[in-house]
Amino acid sequence: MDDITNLDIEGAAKAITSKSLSSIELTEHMLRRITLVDPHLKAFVEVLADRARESARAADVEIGNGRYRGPLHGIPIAIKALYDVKGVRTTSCSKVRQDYVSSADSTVVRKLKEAGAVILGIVTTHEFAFGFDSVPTRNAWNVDHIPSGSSGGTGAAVAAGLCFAGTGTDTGGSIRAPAAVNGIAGIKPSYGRVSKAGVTVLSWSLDHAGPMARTVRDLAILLGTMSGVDPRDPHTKDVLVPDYAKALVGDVRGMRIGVPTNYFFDDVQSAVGDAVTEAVWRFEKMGATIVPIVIQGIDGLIDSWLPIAIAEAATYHQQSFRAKADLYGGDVRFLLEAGELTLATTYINAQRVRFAFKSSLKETMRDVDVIVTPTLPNTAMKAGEKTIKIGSKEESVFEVSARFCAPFNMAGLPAASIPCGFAPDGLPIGLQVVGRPFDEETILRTCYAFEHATDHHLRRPRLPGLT
Amino acid sequence: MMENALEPARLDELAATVGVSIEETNKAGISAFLASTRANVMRRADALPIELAPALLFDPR
Repeated sequence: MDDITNLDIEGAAKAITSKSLSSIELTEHMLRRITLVDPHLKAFVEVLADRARESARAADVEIGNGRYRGPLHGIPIAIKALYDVKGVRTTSCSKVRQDYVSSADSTVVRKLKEAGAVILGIVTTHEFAFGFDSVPTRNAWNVDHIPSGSSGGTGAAVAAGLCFAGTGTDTGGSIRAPAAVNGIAGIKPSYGRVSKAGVTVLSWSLDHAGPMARTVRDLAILLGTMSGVDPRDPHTKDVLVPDYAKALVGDVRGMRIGVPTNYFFDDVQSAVGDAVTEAVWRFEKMGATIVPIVIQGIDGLIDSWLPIAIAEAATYHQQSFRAKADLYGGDVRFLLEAGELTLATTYINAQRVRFAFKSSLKETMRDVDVIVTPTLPNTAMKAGEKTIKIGSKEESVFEVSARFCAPFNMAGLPAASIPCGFAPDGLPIGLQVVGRPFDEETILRTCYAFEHATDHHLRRPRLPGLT
Repeated sequence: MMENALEPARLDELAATVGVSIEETNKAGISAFLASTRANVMRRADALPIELAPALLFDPR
């Protein structure tokens, strides 16, 4: 059982093709782990055991007949409760949509099914992806802590080995933050790289869909499957989807890696600052050139991100909010009320600030291949804590979680988080790697080289229910 | 005038105009939040050339 848990998608795919493991064995293994561990983590909203077994048996038959579809064929994964899955209840973890069952798959789910992935179940999101707590889910490394969010269910489930990978969405850090605090990898692709058709909207202009997994190679496999222009999503761009696996050469020699000298190292926990500094040193040892950079206009940018996010969310929810305001959670209700009252000139000016920031950042990135920063200023917060004080700064969960991530939603740039160390209390720390528009390849190359040179991604949490 | 409209006591008028009701316990927080974000956005926007268009048709390239 432990051997299977330590496999990544690539390893599991090799085992399937060599017939040393079948998809149904992998699926049963995951279902057993979910039964034992998930009562403590509460990552799954719904386990689709029968459907998963059916898909796994079908995959085994196909593969046995020589019709192997690729590395996701027969691999058990989880889907965030924001994605439509045909015939399955996907509530966005809200009472507002407690009876919602889609009649069609979201484009991403369709692509994953076509690639042969086995959908184990639906995992939690913060209600409508509008926050970073993901209640009731808990962190796989310490159940007294939150898994962050909004893709907290995916983060906890992947970290605990309850599935090989999962889907996330990211409007201000909701893939990267849970990846960071759960010690896994996640990538928010460029805006327009992955279709959002059939994914519940939080903010049209800031939302991104993307994968979360335990290794960078697994991210590359999933991103390649999920990406591409989609007639159902007018935001997608017709940009060539490369073979991301080819970027994984384990080498950063000759690369120019930008390290911000402003903003990203202010008010961070010391363990986070130390781990990221160590990561930068490692990149330099591996042959990259470290380029100190100043990111202009980033201080206070969150104040322009917020009105965009809340005004767009309030617009999306306008009808149901008027009819069912009492069914929304208190924190989401507050933000939707504020969004309803955001003035048009505030929104438009925030979009102008955004455009100026994007243009300025584009200039900065001419001189570097990627930028590296901490993903978050902190490790996972304790469940129930509403604020955190780091250095001189006291911030809400919302503010601290978006601080380093949301600027890259504003710019629409691709950004990943990978594990880069652990705090003395054993909680994981994330490294954010940001690239140029539609250059996820260079991000994955950078992340893979780091992962290849370290063992942070190999550490596993001690899980309740198994000990 | 805009700042006055965002005061907690006046928030109901604005809410009624757009057709929503604001929870009593949220009023002070929303008022402060809206005033603060607006002030911060306007401070930055005022420094931009007026020719600079908003990123409404968004393309990261």
